[in-house]
Amino acid sequence: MVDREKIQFDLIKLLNGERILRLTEPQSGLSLEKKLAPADAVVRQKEKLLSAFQAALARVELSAA
Amino acid sequence: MDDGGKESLNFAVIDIHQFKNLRLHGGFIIKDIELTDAPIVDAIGREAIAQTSAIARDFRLFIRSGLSEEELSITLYHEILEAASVALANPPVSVIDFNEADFERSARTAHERWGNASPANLDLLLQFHGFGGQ
Repeated sequence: MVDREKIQFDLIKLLNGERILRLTEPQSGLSLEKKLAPADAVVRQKEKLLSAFQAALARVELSAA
Repeated sequence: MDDGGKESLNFAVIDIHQFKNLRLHGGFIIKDIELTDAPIVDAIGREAIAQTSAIARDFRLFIRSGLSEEELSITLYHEILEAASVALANPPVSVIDFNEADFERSARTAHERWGNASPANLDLLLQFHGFGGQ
């Protein structure tokens, strides 16, 4: 599993007020983002996105092996 | 009527250089912060007014210039509190349930309570919300 400390978390506030959370793993270049639901807890949305991201990273690592 | 110069102060006078390479309560570090006149546009053409990147506890902030002093202050409080909450595997209980409106409300309250965002006030914000010292 990728070291969490190496994942870049980007919080982006768009001109239209929407908030994007983007996760990037610099070595593979893999990136995954989600428009944050304004009424839902940000930390829980991040954890869900992180789980999906780590699963995608694991698939990338498997296919590269 | 003479406004005593208040009108001329209605723009960002917060010196952002004071935040560069700033170590904050909780072990966070603002490695870089930039006010930019250039549009912040991503790969698919979406324009942003602010972007905060966090790797471990290191933050980098890009904020569109042209904000009023109050808007910039609230933006700084908001970005730091939300980035700290997202960066940690186990953030404090006080922010676990925060949605976007809660972060914005906390940032506005911080600005009203402590004034413009400053290194000391960002530490106060993080302490207030239960981030541990490091």
